[in-house]
Amino acid sequence: MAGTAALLAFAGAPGIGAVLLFLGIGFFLRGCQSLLYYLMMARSMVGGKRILFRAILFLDLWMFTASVAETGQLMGIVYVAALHLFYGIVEILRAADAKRLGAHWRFSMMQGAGNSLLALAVIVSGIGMGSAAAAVYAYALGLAYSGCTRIASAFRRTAIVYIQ
Amino acid sequence: MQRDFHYYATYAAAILAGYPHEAGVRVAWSAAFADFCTRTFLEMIGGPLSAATAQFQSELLDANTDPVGLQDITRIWASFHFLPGDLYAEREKCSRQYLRKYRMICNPNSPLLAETVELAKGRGEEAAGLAMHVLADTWAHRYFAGTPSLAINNTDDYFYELREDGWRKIRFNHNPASPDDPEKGIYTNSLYQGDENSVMNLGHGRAGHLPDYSYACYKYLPAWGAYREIVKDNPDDYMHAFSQMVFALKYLRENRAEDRFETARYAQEEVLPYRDRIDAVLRKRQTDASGDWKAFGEMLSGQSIPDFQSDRYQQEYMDANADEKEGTFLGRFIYAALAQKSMVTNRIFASGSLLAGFSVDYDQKGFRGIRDFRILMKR
Repeated sequence: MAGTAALLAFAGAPGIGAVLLFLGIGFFLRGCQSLLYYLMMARSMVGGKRILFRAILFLDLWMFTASVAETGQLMGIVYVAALHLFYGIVEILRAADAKRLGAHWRFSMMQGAGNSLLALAVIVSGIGMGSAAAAVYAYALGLAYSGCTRIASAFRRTAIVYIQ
Repeated sequence: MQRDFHYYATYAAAILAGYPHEAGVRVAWSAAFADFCTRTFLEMIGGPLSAATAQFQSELLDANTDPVGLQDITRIWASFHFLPGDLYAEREKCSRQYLRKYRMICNPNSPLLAETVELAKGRGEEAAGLAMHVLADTWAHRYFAGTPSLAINNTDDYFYELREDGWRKIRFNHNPASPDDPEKGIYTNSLYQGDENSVMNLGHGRAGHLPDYSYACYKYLPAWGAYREIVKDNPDDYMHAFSQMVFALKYLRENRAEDRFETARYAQEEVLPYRDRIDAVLRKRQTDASGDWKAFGEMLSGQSIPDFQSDRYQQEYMDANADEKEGTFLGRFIYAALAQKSMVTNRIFASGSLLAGFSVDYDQKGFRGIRDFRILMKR
């Protein structure tokens, strides 16, 4: 993920095509994941058919995204902006909740504010100025952050000793 | 279950089991405190974070749901609030992944419950109270699992409550700020989340607080039930929980080395004279029965029960030196929590599931892993 983020950052505005490609791959993988989840788990679950319909929906979205990859610059910009705005708002709400309960809140608030500002930058740059560069950089930043946190997470201690 | 049962009912059970008033308060406080000992609290007092027995909503929302994060969540909720009923249960025509989660479903009178009570033997009122919290929750939270799972914990809108005039449909809303309305049958539950490992699918969130209301008798279709209706009779279950608590507390107070705790045993004799009164409290349509349970407990002991305050023993712990902390009230509670979590994690791991993470047998491999558990080696 970190490597892909670096490549996207070098590419700049033309990288929006790659962003759409990754989006499409994402929908495909989610569709397959939902299908696999249905077969492994949700088949035995009351109301599990809903999961199968979700799988079909994601696979449809994959095909749609692939078909507009050449001309869908706006779709890529809107997706990246919406993603960051959503996570930004969620983080801000979490930070407010944590502050109310006396827990650590500053880091979450900074993350939330950062994501929201990023979304704004993407919208201004993409829709206002017609350049997809901000969207590509924002997507690359998100990928890099995700990759780094997963690597850090892998080193967390987890085993518990059992003493008779 | 809620504070009304965990604190006041546990106090009443302790008195019936022969505990004096002060000891009964300590047992009851520990039972109630299991819902408050979160990472946030432990961080504040400088305690080991791994001893957390609960998670605030904000902690849950912030929790990672990667495999390591899920193991952490499962350790807390399966160890203290949704003790697995049968770690070797079988189910036909399902994947191994599904079977592992199916085996996490909470049910009373499990082998793990017997181990929980045995673990508290000879370890004071703090451990006894914690064990009573676990015991009581096995009755209230039965049919749900202490691990995030859509396939196990989900419910749909087929939810009916038994009222005087028959079965009445329950309406759920998702606004946590709006109080439940038992008269109109309107309750709050968590939003449907299609992700298997979402924290919204942890425990009985999809049934709202219904499992925690002693008056509620309802039927629904649990996700694991293959469209078979489950009828949850809370007044009956809570009566069993109370009677079993009296039996368990009597066992712990007598502390006879040659005895072993037996599940499915209830203190019928001790409870019988008060059965009608307890039943009336359980069946009264109220979301908080603290007043009634408190009155009952004070009638039994003739003493006034102090209100529950989560910071009651906090200062003692914070003022103690590092080597004296284990001897404080909270220190002993923390030890009991670590021992319980270690035991349950080991049993889940031994059953072939990694849902609660790895467990290292100290006798064979020495000490590995999370350092907070090193304290268990000292005794």
